[in-house]
Amino acid sequence: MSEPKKIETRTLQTGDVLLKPGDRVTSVYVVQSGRLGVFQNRGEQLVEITQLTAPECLGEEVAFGPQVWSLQVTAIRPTVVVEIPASMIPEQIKATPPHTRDLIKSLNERSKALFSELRVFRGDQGATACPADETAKVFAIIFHTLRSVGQLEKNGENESATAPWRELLRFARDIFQESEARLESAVQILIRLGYATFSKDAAGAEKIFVRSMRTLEDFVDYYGGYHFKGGYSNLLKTNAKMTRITEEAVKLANNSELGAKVDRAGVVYLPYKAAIDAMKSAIPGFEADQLFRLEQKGLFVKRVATNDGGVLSFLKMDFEQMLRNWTLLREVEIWNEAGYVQPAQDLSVVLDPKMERERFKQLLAHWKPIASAAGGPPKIRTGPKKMGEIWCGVCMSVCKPKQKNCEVCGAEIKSEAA
Amino acid sequence: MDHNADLITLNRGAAIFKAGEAATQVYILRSGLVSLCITRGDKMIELMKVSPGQMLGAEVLHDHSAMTWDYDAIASNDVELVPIDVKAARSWIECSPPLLKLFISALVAKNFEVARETLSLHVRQKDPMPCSPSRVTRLFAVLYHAAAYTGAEKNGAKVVVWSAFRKYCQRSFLESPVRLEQAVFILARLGIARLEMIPCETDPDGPEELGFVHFLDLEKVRRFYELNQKICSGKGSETINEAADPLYVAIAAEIEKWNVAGKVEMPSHASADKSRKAG
Repeated sequence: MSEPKKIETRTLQTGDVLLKPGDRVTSVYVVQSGRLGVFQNRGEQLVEITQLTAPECLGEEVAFGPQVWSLQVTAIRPTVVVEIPASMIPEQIKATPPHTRDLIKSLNERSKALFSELRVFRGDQGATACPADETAKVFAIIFHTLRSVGQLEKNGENESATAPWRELLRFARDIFQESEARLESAVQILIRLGYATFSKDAAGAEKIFVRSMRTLEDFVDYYGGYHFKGGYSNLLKTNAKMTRITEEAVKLANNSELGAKVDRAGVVYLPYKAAIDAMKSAIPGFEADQLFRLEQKGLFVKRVATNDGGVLSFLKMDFEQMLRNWTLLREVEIWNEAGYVQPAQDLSVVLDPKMERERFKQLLAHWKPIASAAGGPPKIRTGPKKMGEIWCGVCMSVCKPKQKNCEVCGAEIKSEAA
Repeated sequence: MDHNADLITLNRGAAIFKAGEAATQVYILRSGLVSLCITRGDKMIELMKVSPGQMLGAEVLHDHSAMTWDYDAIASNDVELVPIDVKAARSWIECSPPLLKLFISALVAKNFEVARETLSLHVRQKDPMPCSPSRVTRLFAVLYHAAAYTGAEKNGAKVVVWSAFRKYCQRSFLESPVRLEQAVFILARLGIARLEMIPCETDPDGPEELGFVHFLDLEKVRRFYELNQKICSGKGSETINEAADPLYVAIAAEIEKWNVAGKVEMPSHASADKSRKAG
């Protein structure tokens, strides 16, 4: 990685990798908005060490000496980082009074020690983005928070819920102490699968609508039940082949031409030979015994011998429910493999970059300058942007028209006047 | 200015600061080791150590409001450290050139978040307190929401089958069954719940066990966890009024007894039932 010459802002999309093991760090990164995940690759497992949000930094050790990076840093939300060339900082540190230098050095030493302790801790735990112990919990919390802060609507056997998004996040965080980032990712999964939708009304109020509370509850029961029983870990792993067979079995259950019959309890009866032939033609490489291997995944198929070749029977409702569970489970698996959830189409509403940017501005505003190294106060704005004013995108200083680089921080001026 | 002129030396075992004290200074450790500890009863539990060259208490640089320490800092051996007034440290940062200020503030923010995360992991692992203050809101919220959802209405009370309820709370909320049981005992002692004992399924001659919990006034549980959440996060006169609420005072006192004794005694009505049936 070649060292940049000046301060740049870099926009990362969800999933973009900022640093990977073996990279030579040449810049210090300050998160301006969004969220970065810091991960450790452990074979197939991606252990989440921590998440960084504005205005935290990354790679700060390079300011004190060369550094080879050993972790993976991925944007888990659309993120903007300020990239400060490593060579710029030592010069500035050198120019500060000894007490400030001491303060920076000791702060960095402490930060380094804490981070390595956290790394060991998380590594020992083997904590993924959504650990197995926490999977049922995050969806249970969404379910109970929706019941608590949302409006429920009964529609036959189905129950839907609508809740104000910010209130849902606040309640889950303050009352159930659930991580906002994890909850947000779980909601993104629900949106991706079409189980939930997100909307913003004319007044700007953000709402989340969950179509079927039952789906959520069933997944919590399924995951919680098997995970905490012990010895059923195999049931909590998806298998593409098994999923395909289950899908086909449900299709056949609806095929009256094949002779499918459903009794009052929802049990489907299929003529054995016709069903197996239909499955063989639909699924390449299918063998009859694979149908009975569904038992390993918690689904039961019964075969009864008759004079006309036998009958297959299974509870259709269970198969349909298991398919829904596996769909959700697969998304959780992908989340843990990648460390992030690929945002749903309308997720831009959920993630409000403007709001995060505003938060960053506020944080910067708190650090009111008294005087710069040159003796005069730097022109950093804290109030709203005035008409015609040009701001530096990095330090928000007021810049002159046609100015190419910021006088205060050296960043390239790209922004147009408001 | 030579801030090293303020170098102080402390002997092994001396307290640099104690939990609850106002955080007015941060320290640069020049030599020796400092233990960050929490006190539980008469025991001191070490969470982590600070080594020479590191800053002690850097978290307070992040927060602009007045802060108190969450832990004790004790000299593990003879130590030399330089105290720095928090206000002075902040002004040094503020006087730095903008780029450096951006860098230091980012470092301070990162240090704050990582310290908070690491300390909370240590506390969770090492704290022997059965119901530490950070767990209270969640514990009672879980009780309320699980009972409101899974309980059956009976004579104006919400009744839950204890074994199924306990399992539900554990699987859905990752809540400890022992802690749940103790919290239910507290509610029963205060007349908010009633316990119904049943013969042991596996050993009919053995002692009876908790079969059903009748939540007589579940709304009180909700009010308590809401009050506790407000008190834990809030400041000012409103919080003082809430902390004086009789319901809050009663439950908080029981939780304190629980933390001191390590367990909650089964309420008298349930133990009387138990001994009568045994007799």
